[in-house]
Amino acid sequence: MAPIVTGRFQDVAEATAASKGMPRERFTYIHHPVSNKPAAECRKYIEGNDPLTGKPVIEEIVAALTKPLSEEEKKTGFVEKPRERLLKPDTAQNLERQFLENGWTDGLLIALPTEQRVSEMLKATSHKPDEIVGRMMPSPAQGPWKYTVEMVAANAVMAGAKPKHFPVILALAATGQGSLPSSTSSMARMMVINGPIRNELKTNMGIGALGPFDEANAVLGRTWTFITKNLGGGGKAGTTYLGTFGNNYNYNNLCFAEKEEALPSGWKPFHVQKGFKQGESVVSVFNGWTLLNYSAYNPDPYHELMRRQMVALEMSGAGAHHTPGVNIQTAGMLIIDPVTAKALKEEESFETKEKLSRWLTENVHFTMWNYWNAMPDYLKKAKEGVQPYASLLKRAPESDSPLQLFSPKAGVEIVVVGGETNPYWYAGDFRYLASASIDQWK
Amino acid sequence: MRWATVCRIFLTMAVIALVACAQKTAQAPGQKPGSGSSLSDAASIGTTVPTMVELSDMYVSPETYDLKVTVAEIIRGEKSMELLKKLGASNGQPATDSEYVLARVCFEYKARGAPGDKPWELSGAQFSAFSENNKPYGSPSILALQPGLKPLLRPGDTLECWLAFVVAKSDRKPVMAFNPGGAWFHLY
Amino acid sequence: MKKGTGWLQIGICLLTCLFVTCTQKPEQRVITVLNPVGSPSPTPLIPMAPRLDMLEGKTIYIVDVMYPLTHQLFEEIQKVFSEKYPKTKWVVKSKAGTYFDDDPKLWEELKANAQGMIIGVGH
Repeated sequence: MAPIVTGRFQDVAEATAASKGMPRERFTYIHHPVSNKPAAECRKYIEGNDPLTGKPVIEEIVAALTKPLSEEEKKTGFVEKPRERLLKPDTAQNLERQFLENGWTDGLLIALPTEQRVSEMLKATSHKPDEIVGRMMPSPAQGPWKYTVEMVAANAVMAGAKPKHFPVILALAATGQGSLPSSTSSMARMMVINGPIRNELKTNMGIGALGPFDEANAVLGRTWTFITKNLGGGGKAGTTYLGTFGNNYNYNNLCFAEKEEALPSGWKPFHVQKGFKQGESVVSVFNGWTLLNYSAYNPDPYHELMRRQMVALEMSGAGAHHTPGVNIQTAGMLIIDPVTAKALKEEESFETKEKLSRWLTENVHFTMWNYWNAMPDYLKKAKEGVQPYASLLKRAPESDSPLQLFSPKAGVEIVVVGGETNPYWYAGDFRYLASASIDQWK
Repeated sequence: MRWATVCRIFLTMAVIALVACAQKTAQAPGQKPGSGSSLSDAASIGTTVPTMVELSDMYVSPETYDLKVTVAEIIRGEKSMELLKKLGASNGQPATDSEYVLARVCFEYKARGAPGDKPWELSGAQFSAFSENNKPYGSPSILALQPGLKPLLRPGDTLECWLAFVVAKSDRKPVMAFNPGGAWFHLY
Repeated sequence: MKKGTGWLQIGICLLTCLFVTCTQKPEQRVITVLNPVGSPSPTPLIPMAPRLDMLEGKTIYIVDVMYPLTHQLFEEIQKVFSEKYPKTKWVVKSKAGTYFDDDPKLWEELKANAQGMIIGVGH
C-alpha cells in the first residue's frame, strides 16, 4: 500500500497510523490543498516533489510499493506506553512551569495536584481510585485512552474544583466525550446540568448563567478541558486538534445548568426528556459551533422569528460548501430565557418543548441557493431536466427548498435558563451527544 | 569513647532520615494483579474484565458503552480436536506442532446513559491470540463450537459463545487480546 | 569524657537538622504531585504487507477515499503512472459512501484482482 496525504496533515496522518499499530507506514505527501483544484494543477503536484521531503512524488510512491521491508517494518506484538503515577519531585515553581510548557493546562495558573489535595477530592466519591472511569479517543481515527478515578481527581484539582464538584466531573468523564473535537472546523462543546445537584453546587442559572459569574460553572467547564487534553490525548495542535481558528467557547465549554424551576408547566427538564427521573442529577453534553442571540417584543411571534433565524444555521460550521453532499443536515438547539419560554407556552400554544421542536424541525428549510450545494447530484439531474428537480430551478434562490435543515433524528433540543431580564434566546447548531448520571458517581 | 560518639551521631541521622521517608507518599493504588488491562497483566480464567467500546454514526465523538468480558473455560489439545471433529470432517488437524485452543467467552453489554441505543457488532476479528513471547497467532478456518459468536449485541444483552484459536503445542501460556475493548486474557 | 556529653552531641545534631528544614523558604521546598497525564491503550502492531518485487505485469488500484472535489487528483495519478509505467495496469476506484465510510466490498475486490494499492485522502 502507498498512502498519499496532503502535506498539511503530516502530523495527524502519522499519529493516526501509529495509534492504529502502523508506525512505519510509508506516506507520500503532496501539495495542500487539493480540493477543487483543476486537473492540470493536480498533475503538477504529482509530477513535482513531496513538499516535506523534497523527493519526487512518483519515486516515493513507487518505493512505497516496491522497496523491501526493513526489520522494523516487519515487527509484530504490542506497543505499551507505561506511565508513572507521580512526577519527579521539584519545587512548586518548577512544577507549574513544567505543567505549562508540557501543554497540560489552558495557559492559566493551576492548583498543583499534590497527594493531599487529590486525596481530599477522592473523598467525594464512593468509587475506588483505581477504577476505570471511561475512555476517550483523541480523535475519531485514533485508539482510546483510558483513565481512572484518581487521574480524573488530579485534573479536577488542577482546575480548582472542590470535592463537591467531583461527582459531576466523574459523570462527565464517564461519557467519554472530549471537549476539544479534532475537526478543522473549530467545534465547541457544551455541558448542561440537571437535577438536585444544581442547587447543591449553587450553579448560576440566572443572570449571566453562561458567563464568568460562579465557581461551579467555571471549574466544571475548565476541568473538562484538562481531562480532554491530559487523559484523552486530545487538544494537541497538529495531531489531535486541527481547528484552524480554535473556538473561544472552548475556554469554559459552555457549562451551565437548566433553570428547571422556571420551566412552564408541561415543559419537561432536559434530562427527563432523555429518560432520566426528575429527581436524578444528570450531565448532558452537546457539540456545535454557533449561538445566535436575539430578542423581540413585537410584532412577530417568537417561533416564527426562531424559524427565520435558524435558517442562517445552514451556513454554520462545516456545511454544504465545505463537504458537498456529505454533512447535509444539521442539528438545532435553543437556549431560552424563562420569559420567552412562558410566552411560547401561553401565547403561542407550544404546550411542550417537543411541540416546538417538531414545528421547527418541519419548518426550517435550506434555502434554494444552498440546496444545490448540499445536493450536487440533484443539481445535475435538474439541469438534465429530470423531475422533480428540474422544476425547482424556477424557485427564487432565497426561497425555501424541500430539504429540512434539521434531520428528524437530531431535531431541535431546548433548554431553559437565564435571568429573565428580557425575552432573549440563543439559536444554535449544537447537537446532543450523551447524558450520564451524576448520582452514580457519588 | 570517640567511636561511641560517632555511633550516636550516625544513629540520630538515621532516625531522622527514617522519619522523613515515612512521611513520603503512600503506596500507589495500583490495579489488582490479573486485571486484564494490559498484555503483562492478563486476566485469569473466570475473571470478568470491564471494558468499554465506542460507537458513532458521525465523525463527532462517539458514545461509550460498557462491555464486560469473561473467559470462562479453556479446552485445548486432544479434547479440543475431539469436539471439533464431531462438528465436521472439514475440521482437520492444525499444522504440525500446533493445536487448537477453544475458549468459552461471556459478554455483558450495557449503555452508560443516554442515548444508549446503539448495538455493538461482535466479530472474530476482534479477538486474537498471542504467544507467551508476544508473537501473534493466525486465525484458524474451522467450523466453530456452538454457541458461536452472535454478530450483534444490543444494550442489555448477554452472550456466551465459543472462540477458536490455534497455538504452538509448546506454548503453555498463550494470551487472548480483545480489541477495541483493550482487554487481555489468559488462554490457560 | 564527661557524663551527658554524648547526649548533648545528639541534641545538637537534631537541632541542626530542624533548623535547616525550618529555615528553607516555601518556594524552595520540594513537593511531589500526581502525573495528570494518561496514556493510550496498548496498541497491536500490524505488520506491513510484503512489497512487490516489480511493478511490471501487476495491477495497482488507485483508491479515492472520496473527500469532496478531489477526484481529479486520482484521475491524474492514473494518467501519469500509466505514461511512466505502461506495463502496469493502474485502475482508479472510488470508495463507497463518504470519506467517513468503510467499503469492505472494495477491499475484497482489491484482494482478488490487484497486487497493490495507492490510497489517498485529498483535502
